[in-house]
Amino acid sequence: QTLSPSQIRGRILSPDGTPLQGASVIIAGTKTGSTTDEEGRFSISVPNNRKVTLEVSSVGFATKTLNPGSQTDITITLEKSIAGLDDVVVIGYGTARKKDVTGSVATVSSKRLMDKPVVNLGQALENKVAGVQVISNGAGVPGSQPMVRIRGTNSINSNNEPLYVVDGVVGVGNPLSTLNPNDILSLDVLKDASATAIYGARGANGVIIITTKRGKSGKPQLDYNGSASLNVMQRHLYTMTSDQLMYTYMQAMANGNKYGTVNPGKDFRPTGSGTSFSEMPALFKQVPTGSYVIPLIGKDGKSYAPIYNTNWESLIFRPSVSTDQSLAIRGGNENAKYSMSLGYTDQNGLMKQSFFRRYTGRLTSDFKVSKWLNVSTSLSFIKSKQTNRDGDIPRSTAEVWSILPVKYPTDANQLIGNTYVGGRWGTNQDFNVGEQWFNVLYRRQENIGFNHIGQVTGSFTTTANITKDLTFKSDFSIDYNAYKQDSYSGQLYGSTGSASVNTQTNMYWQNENYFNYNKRIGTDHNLSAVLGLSWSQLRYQNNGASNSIFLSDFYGYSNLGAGAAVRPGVSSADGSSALNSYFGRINYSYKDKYLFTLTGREDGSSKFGSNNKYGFFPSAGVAWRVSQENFMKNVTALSNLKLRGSWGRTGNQEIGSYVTQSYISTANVVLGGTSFTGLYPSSVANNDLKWETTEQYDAGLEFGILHDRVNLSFDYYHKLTSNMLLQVPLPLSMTSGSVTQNYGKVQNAGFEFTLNTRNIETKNLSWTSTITATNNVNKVVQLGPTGAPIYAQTGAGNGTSALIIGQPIGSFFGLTRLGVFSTEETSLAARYGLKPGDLKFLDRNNDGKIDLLTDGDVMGNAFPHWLIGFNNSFTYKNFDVGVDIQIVQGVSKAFVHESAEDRQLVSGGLNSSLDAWRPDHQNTMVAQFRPGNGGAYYQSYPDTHMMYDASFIRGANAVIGYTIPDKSVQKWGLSRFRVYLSTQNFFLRTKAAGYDPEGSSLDKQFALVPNTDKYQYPVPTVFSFGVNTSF
Amino acid sequence: CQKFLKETPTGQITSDYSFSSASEGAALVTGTYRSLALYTGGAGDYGNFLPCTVEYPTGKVYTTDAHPQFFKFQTNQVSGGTLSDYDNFWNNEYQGVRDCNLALSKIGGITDWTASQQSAAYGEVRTLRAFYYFMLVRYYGDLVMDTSVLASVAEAQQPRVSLKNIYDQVIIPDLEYAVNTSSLVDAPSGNGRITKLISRAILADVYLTCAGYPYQEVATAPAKNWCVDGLFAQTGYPVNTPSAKDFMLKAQTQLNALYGKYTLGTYSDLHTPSKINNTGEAIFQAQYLGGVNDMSGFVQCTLPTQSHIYQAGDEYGTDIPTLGYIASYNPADKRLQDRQMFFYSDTYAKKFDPNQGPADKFPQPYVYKYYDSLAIKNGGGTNLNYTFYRYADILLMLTEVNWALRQLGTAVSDNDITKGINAVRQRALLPDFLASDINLKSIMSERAYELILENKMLWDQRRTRMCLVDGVGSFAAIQSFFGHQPTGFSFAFSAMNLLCPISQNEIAVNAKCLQNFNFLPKQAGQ
Repeated sequence: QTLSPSQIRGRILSPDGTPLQGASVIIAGTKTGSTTDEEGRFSISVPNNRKVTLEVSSVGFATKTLNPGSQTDITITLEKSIAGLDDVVVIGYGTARKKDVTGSVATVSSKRLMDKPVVNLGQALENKVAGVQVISNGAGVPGSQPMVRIRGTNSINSNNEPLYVVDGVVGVGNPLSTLNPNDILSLDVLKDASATAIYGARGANGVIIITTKRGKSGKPQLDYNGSASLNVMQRHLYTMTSDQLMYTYMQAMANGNKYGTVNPGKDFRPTGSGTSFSEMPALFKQVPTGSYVIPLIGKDGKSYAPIYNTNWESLIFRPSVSTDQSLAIRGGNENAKYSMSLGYTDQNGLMKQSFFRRYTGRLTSDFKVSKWLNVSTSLSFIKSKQTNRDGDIPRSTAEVWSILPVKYPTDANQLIGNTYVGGRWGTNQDFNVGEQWFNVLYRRQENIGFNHIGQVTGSFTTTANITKDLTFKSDFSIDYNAYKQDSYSGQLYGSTGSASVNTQTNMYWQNENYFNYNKRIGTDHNLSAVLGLSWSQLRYQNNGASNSIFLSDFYGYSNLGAGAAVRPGVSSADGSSALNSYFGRINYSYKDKYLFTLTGREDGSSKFGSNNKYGFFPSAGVAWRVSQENFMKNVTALSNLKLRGSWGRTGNQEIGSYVTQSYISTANVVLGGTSFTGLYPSSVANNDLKWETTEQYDAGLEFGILHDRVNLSFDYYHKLTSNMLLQVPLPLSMTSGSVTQNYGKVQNAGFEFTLNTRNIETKNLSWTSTITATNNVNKVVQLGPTGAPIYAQTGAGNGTSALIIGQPIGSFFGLTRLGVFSTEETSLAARYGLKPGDLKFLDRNNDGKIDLLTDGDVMGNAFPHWLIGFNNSFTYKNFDVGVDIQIVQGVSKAFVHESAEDRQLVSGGLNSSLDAWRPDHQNTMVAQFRPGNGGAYYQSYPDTHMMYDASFIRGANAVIGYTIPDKSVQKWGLSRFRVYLSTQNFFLRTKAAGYDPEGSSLDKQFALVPNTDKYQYPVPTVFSFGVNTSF
Repeated sequence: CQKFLKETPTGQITSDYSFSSASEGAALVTGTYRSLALYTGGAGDYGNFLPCTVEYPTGKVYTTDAHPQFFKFQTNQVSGGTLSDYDNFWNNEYQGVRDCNLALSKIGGITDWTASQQSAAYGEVRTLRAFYYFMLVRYYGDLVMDTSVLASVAEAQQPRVSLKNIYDQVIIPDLEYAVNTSSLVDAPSGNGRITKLISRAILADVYLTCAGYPYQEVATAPAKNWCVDGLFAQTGYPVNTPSAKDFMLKAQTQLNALYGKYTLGTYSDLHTPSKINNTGEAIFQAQYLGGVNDMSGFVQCTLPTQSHIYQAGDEYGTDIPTLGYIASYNPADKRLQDRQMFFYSDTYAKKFDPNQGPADKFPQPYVYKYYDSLAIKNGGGTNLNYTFYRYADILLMLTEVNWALRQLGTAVSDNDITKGINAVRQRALLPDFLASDINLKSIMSERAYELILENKMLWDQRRTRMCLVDGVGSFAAIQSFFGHQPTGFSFAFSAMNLLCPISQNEIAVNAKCLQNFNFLPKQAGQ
């Protein structure tokens, strides 16, 4: 290719010689520029006289300026600048150089985000940014969407998720699970009010701005990234073996009358009237007397032993393989640029038939229509499918008797009492002390269902360069989400099958219009401003249908009409919400030393009461770049010192539509065998409802020494959320239970700390490390009108939580378990109507009664004190190595024992039950064995025995990559070829029980108390192999 | 932009809507029935249903499944937070009250209706409101009084008022309106809707209750804080005061109006939907329809624990009469025979044994009156209604009222005293009583035999302050509530056991609501 005299091409490299993708080359003082491709190559048109200055910049490197002179092919090596002072950060309705920003903004490059194979953005973000907590939901469930908290939990009943802005589309639907991380160019996290106030009523939880990769000038470039991962179990749940179970059974029955009245029908010993061991040849085999460790004597006087010893965990969880592939083409010329990308993710869980599959596509185009007019479009489409019936299966691994088979063989001997069970699935009712629990494989077969998401997001943006300093931008964007949830519960013994299909469609549109003004006045004054207005609207429609009584499992959820329920379920709802906003921002800097930002946004929302439709959200930020001062010029060791401070108010409006209204709802009422429609009062009006407001102060320090080889960033923040959108619980004597009112206050305060160091920098070897540390202290300052605590999940078998003034959100609440009443404490136990061998709880008010709320107390918190990430990356010649360690300190987890430890002999059980009290083993936390379903009482409360210190250290990621040198791969038509091996979750140290210290079981996922494990889905250790190639 | 931000809900009617058509009026009235069906609803744990909770405190009913925490009743450890026992009962009945208040505020605007139709609608809704309050007042004592649609959230917290006021200002005026003023039809209900005979049955029960405790004791000093201070001490039944006698006379009037309007069927009718749903001896019921709204969960409570006889799920065994209760039946009592009021064995459900062979022998008899065999053997929901009032109950009230009036010095014929109880005994193939055989023990015993597991005994214990002592072949004695210790209980009843604890949630969010004597959780500062 011959170059015209006005064209320059070149290559931009990092100090170690690797090409820099996405670096920007701009002709200084103009908007003309280009970005580099995967090979680091660019081409740019310059005036014929070539009297221009090129500004070359790239995230993480110091900006370099040069005069090309007569060169047409330039190789430029950029120096690393970890502080990234010249980096451009996205700040909402514009960009700014990092050094000019007064707010707290963190940028994560695509390279950092993708340093391990990830399925979703949440995983990619975990551990990367101080102040950001990524909370796993459903633990290892494939495709589960994590929760993200920026600087703590602000709100009790409103949403606490940050606002996601993807390529200018504000509040895009479910970006965490549907966005293909390979498409991301950069991600900016806006944390303090100076940064987020431009998003006004939606900014209180922080903002994450995502910029995706777009086309660029030059020949088309094809990138392919692919990986395959092996997932294996990391930890196990120890359940009772058959021997342990039969020991428990015999002990429990012997104690039965001590704790109630033994139901003789559940007693299989010769003393009981239940089916004897000798009458259950399907489960027990005759053995020589004395040959089995537990004397199981049948009614015939002979000895028996269980036939099976089934480990349900090993049958349902097994290693799985996941793959991820993405393909992208980007190219164009100065006037028209394009990009296309496709992605396919196939994530398979450790559980059988548990998966997440996602197809993504993205198209972008950018046109320079005329000298003053640019048009950009983007269109993305996503389809995903996720299994949704995985929730109660892990519990069955612990609760189903180990003495059962998966399926009984079909010979004539398969009898339980008079019942022939040959060919049937084993279920808990076969050993008839238990409840109707189905074994995991049976349940897996009979429970099918999927969540589907289809999403189309598109935008059309016009930019007019009105003058050199003034541009006007207008966009029209849509985000269409279609959700469908199918579910079928099959004909498990005795059931008739039930199916449901629920759909939801959301149609969001926005129109944003704003001016950007940038002006340098003289050499000292720099002014930039934004002024704009916007409209947006969300319309939703939900439809649901269900039916039951199917003649066969054949139909699944695919033909609801085939069911024969008396009244099949139907439901639908629709509605909308709208926002109308006016916003503006002024940035002013003096001599690049003193920086000021003022931001304001006026938001009007349909969601609020007729008396409070509009709210105003202001912020102000200042920064002082001390290192620019003359008196600092001699302090050569100090390369950067900046002090920042900001204040602002932002809002939260994430409640449903129409909550301010008073409704009269309909119910179906049966009278005389016919269903009629009845009306009833369902809610109380609140026309004064308004924004939840968060007021935030932030003080920051940025500090670099030794030519930025050591960089430190430190922030302290204090947030007070007031006028919360609280679902104030109301007396049920006078109301339907609650009303959303502006009540209550929550405070968050904390430190964020980021230390970047370049420890070794030589030609062949480099080592850089980053430590991020986050500390957040949350406190409920005020609640509803009575100030009464708000309790949740107070029943046994839960992780009870409480919102209490003075205590943080996420507080677990329960009794203190002191142990078990000993034989010396017989009279003390009798005070509570109990006996030695019964659980002993702290009677806080010493009134002789044990009551959860009266005697309970805060037992721990589901949010950690400290989050620490320690990330290292090394390069040695063509090798690259990364090691990420994650440390979480000061967090509790509720591991709910109730269903498998307190309730002995209601189900299979955990083998921790074997620590049960005996007269010769009194110092324990487990009550004496008793037949829970055989007529004995048991005590089960949310209590300290189920609380664990869930602090942990995790080997989050380790990767070793090798980039085959250019010359070798060029022969194959490649410009880049990297292979890597990586492992995630490769070690874990914690005191917590269960599969993983993070996450919750699917049915115990609560945004305010995220750490409750009642048999959660296991988290795998992952081993991956992948390639990154460019053609 | 005001228009752009205006909210116009599409799926739900807002409270400023003006109801005027007959169909809207009918829907408002229908809505007031919705809480009746919740009466058999769950109470926060596996196998724990509200009717079980109403039986456990009597000491005559137990469970062989541990989930309902029966040991707390045995050891006097129940509190307002015991599972959802007291929350759900409170919430369900008050929901009914609020639904009635809404309908009452709108019926006047139904212009499609004639004055007579409006009057009938008022009678219907006021009867239901009285019934909801009657359930609450016997369970909890003093109550928050809520008789209108809440105007402002600021008024949501209200203190409890004396139970006497609840009777005098709501329950009795509502029912007397329905009986004496409204244009309700004076006939049995064929479709589950309120008729005047239903209003009369409830009113008779209300009068009878007011003739006893705690109304009569509270009336001696209405200003005292009886429930919060636990002042109850008075005993002796019938209560000999002019007021008690007046209530007995009023009850007699209503019971006489009901007498002969219904007929007793067979015991098998009691669990056969086609024979008992709004027909036969049923007077007033919670209405169910299998697969739409059914009480299958409660049906499972009365089946032997995990007995493999129920097709569609577990058998809970959480609502079982104690062995002492059953031993107190006369062995000659027909009700005791297999598959009359009890059943002693059953067949396996098809899912366990396709041939439905005989199940394991039960360790004791179980109550048969909720055994909807179609639902139990075929799976799916049950159509069986839950009966609040049936004719046998009315007959036994009639005997009690006439006996009590004679005790209080009113002339009553022997036949009026015995005709009710003997009709009930004749069906049980037991010999007739003479008027001289009638005493409180024989009346309460017959109520216990006939109305077993129908949630009557707790109210009987409370209004008479007397308890039956288990015996063999008959109850051994009737003794004062104070000091009575049921078999298997670790304590003797005292004044606190005449009430149940106020809902934990109400205490938490209603600062004006005080807890009953000796119960937890207490109000802050109480």
